[in-house]
Amino acid sequence: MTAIRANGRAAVTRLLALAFAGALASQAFAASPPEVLLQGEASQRNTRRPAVDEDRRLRDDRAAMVRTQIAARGIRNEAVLAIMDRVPRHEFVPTDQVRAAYQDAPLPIGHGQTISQPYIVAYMTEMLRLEPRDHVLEIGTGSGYQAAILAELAKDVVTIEIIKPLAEDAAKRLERLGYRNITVLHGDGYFGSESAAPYDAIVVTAAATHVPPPLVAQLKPGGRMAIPVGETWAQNLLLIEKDKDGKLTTRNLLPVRFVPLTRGR
Amino acid sequence: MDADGRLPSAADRPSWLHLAALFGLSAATLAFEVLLLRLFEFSHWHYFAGFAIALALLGLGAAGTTLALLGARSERWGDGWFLGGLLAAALGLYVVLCLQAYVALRPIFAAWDARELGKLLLVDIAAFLPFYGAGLAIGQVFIRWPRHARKLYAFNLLGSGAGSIAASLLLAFGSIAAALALVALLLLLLGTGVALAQRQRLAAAFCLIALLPAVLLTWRPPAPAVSDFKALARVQDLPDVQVLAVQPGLIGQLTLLRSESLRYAPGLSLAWPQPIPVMDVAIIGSDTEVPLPGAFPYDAHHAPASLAGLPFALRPHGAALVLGASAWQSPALAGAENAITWIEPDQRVLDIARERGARSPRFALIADQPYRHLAISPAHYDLIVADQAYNGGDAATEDYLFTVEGITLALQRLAADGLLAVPLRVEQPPRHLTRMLATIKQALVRYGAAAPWAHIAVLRGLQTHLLLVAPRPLLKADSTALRAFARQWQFDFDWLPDVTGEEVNRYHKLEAPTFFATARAILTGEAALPDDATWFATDSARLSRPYLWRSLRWERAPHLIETMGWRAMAYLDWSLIFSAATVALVVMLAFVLILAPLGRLPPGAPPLSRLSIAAYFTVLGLGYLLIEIAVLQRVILFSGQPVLAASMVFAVFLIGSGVGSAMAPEARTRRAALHIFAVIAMGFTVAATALWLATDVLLEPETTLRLTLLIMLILPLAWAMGRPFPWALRQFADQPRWIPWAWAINGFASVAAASLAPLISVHHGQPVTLAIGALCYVVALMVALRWTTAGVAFH
Repeated sequence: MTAIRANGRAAVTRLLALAFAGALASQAFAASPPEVLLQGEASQRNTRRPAVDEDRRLRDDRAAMVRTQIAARGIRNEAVLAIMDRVPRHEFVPTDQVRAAYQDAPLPIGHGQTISQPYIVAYMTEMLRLEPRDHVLEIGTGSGYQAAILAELAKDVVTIEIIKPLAEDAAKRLERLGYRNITVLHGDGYFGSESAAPYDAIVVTAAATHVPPPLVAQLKPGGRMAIPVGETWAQNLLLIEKDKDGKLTTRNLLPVRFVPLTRGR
Repeated sequence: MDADGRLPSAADRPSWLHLAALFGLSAATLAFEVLLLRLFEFSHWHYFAGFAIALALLGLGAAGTTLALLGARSERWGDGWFLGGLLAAALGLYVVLCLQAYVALRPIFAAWDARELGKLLLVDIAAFLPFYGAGLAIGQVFIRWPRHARKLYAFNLLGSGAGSIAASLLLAFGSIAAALALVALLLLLLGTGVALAQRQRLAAAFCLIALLPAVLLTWRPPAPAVSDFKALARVQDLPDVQVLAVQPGLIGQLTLLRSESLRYAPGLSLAWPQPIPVMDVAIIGSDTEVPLPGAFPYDAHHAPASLAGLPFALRPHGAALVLGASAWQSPALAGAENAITWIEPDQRVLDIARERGARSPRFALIADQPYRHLAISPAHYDLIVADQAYNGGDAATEDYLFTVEGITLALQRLAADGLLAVPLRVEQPPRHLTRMLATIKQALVRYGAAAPWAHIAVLRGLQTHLLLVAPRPLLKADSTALRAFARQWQFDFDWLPDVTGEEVNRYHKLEAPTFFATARAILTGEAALPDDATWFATDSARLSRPYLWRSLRWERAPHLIETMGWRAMAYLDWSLIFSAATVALVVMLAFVLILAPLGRLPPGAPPLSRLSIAAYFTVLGLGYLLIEIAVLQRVILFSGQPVLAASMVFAVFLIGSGVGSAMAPEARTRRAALHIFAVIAMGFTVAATALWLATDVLLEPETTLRLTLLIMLILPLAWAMGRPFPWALRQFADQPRWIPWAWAINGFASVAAASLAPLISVHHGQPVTLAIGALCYVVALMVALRWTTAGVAFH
């Protein structure tokens, strides 16, 4: 009996030691909490439409972009098309790139980041199948353009950017444009934002060597994550889906074959 | 006495000051070329770097055209002209030095952004200036003293050889910017000395005034601006990043960085629940990332859930060989019971690992080239992991490990139940996977495998394939373990000898099981390749054509672009495209710039005709560079480091040719011509035989002896190849107006050949490049024989 008790105490001690080590280990891995630069609200009664005063040429350029680069390439979701037509992409590019804002190409925004080609943004948004009640996480705010697009569809968006100047610029821009349901954080997106988890959808804009396990954990069952994989200039977009049992599958989001422009639409 | 019976005066021959100045300017020019290549690789992308260098080198050819157009005027300006060219070159160096500190390039955007294109052209045109200035000065001396072509050419080449060595030494011990600033300062000092000695007061005053800022720039050289899209810039942008060390080196600057945001785990399962620990990273140059743990052994608790840890799970005991260094990090993920031998050419990476605990008895770190180690080491291993495959490579970069012969060597070094593991990034459509499988299959056949398909397993995760190759058919225990691993950690099979349809597209779903279909087609030959896989090259890589990372099929490129749209741009081999574009551009420019002065040149005295002069100097320029570059490509196999090989080969060729040119015959006789080219043939035979047929013998010796042997084998050829050019220039002694024109033609042909050589080697093999180079010398001989008249000699 004494031996069993002694063995039991030893087992408990080992368990406690393991738990303590695990706690210490997770502390070693956990990043410091991200800094809030813009606090959004999730109320559906908030006005999400940005108030933008713009010149007609930019307005026309944007309409042409939607018509020739997005709709003509097979994007069918009316809500996505409307949002791409509404959100002023030129507000999200550096001032010296405004003229190129509606070109069919990605644009550099500094610090090795780009604002994605309009078609890619629209395609990814359509593939996420967002609902008005969805709570979305974006890793890699960049200019804030993708966050703005997502915020037009979803209930709210939490977006994290590790490069402080980019995060600050994006926060100011989104606030100026009137987005009230976007929270902009400055911090390491590897750990997501646990305080606001779980998320219906997660968008990762920066490729990494692996999908951060904390992000997978913060995805709700039934949720979807869009993530680029591959080299900067040869990326594929993957969609990671978590079923109700927590099982994960991925599929290639961007078709290998290019969706051709269809004329006459 | 000359033809008029006069004794030669001091003005009729170059003084030692002139020769020293020529030597120094030539040294500075070639040093600048070497440094520029390294600088542009740092700030451009490497395929743009080659294109930019070619554009810059056109400055030499353009200088020749300018001199041909100016005629006797440059000769009349004498020392002033030379000094002017020298100072223009020095000024150009400073322009490049300052410009590169402020202009960070994003060449990929130049395709649609006029500003980026403008920046690219500005930097490239600035690099043109030093070569143009140097060309004006160097070309002029051949016009001034046509009867001393041998001596002048010798000093030109010897100086160039010295410059190549000096640049390599500077890069080995200092930064690119410091090296560039020092070369510019030395050139300015040379100009100052020459100006003072020749009493050129204005030039001397200019040089003396310029010296102070020049010294300051050398003391604190401005660092190159790095594009924000380069890995170095992106990592330096991370919060709390610390630079732990910066080390110069021939391979490229190594920057060791630490940040709490750096985590690398390629091949990790999506189902792994824990975050990955932070790692430091060594960035070589501006883009190659090599993660390094803070300490060895490393607690890789995620290894059981990772493709990177899988080989060590299959072979947890025994000896493991790791080839190369990459983000795959096998030395960090190795099992506690494995004895690790790590082969990596960059000694600095090994030194850092050693300082962090990767030491004997468990670790043996060897700075060597993987192919060589496999060829000479008698050791056998239970596991060989080719980490360097994860880095991929450029289409025109030699990778001797991933050839049929290299993989065969690896199989021969495995124990009977050993495994070879090759990680490869997933690319859709299949791009490099096809050639890797084809190469492995041929290696297995060569090794003696009756059914190669039974020796291979290919697993696929989100971003990575892992190819496992066994010298014998895969053990049932391994198949069972692989299936259990795949099920537990959610990986798909692209191939397993008895794979079922359900296992190939289960977790990471593709529109169609393209990778499985590709593997089946390659390994069994029982089905056609899927259409996607045929867009890229599918042949195996051989030792004579070691370019596994070349994927471009020119005839399929239009279809690729039509099918994939703009995304196809990322799947093209831009180094080959830029090489082809360079050749086309040089040919067009040469056509214009060579024809332009023709109207102003007098007719050649028979048998020297314009066509024969053009032909001779064209084939000489082509042949010299084709042979030199083919030799360089092969020497990389023996030296292990491309930059070391380039330094050594360029120096040997330049110095050897310099000495040879000083000993070139002058007589325009059949005997002299035959002698010149016969010696080239002998030297060529020795070098080609040794480098391509005596591979094993040359790989065996240690570094110093091996490099010495290589130098001894190449030097006679280089010496011999230095003689045809000055011999021919000497024939124009009484028609010096032809000299700059001939020199310009030779310059253009050399630049074209520098881009043509990689194209030929990549597509047809290095022996073909060598053979075409040899053929060029045969044509040159035929032209030379037409020129010769028995019994006529010149003094």
